[in-house]
Amino acid sequence: MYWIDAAHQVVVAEETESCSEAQITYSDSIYSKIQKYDNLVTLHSHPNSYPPSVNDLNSNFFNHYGLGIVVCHDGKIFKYASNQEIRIDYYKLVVEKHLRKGYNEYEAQIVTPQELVTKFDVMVEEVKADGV
Amino acid sequence: MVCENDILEIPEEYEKMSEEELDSEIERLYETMKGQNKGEIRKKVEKLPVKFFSLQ
Repeated sequence: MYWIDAAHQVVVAEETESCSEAQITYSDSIYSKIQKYDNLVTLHSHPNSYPPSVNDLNSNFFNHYGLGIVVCHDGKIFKYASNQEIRIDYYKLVVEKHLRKGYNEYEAQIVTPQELVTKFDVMVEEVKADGV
Repeated sequence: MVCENDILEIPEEYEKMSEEELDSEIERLYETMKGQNKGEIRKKVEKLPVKFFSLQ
């Protein structure tokens, strides 16, 4: 994961050696670097090409990040931001609801954020080739 | 780059819920969060000082 100061377009911190395959570890060093900034842009990858997760949204909210970017291994890019907490149990229940409708896991995780943006103060959008 | 936590495990209890229980619980939890929606997400994103790869 990279934390970017958008004003100066500088990477202020990076964590690319996480001990967990699926989770970023916020070290003291990382916290000491990023806490000086407001509105950081975060950038990380999703090898399974899922869109931004509920944890991504909540991290954006709780850490006061400005914008999050997820780069998927299938070439998709998502931008996201959150202005409120989304309960993880709620998110999982909505995914379960979509799974029961016949969506597979990937499709359910595409549809669920689309539903969230209609109900909550969050943004999740795919970045298209023209940057829109 | 490494990925953030995007692995979602659905608890077994959710899978055992009836449709009514599922809808009811979703609605209950929604009610606990809807008050936080200030409709200001665009304002938050537009506060970024520079257009970042036209992503805003």
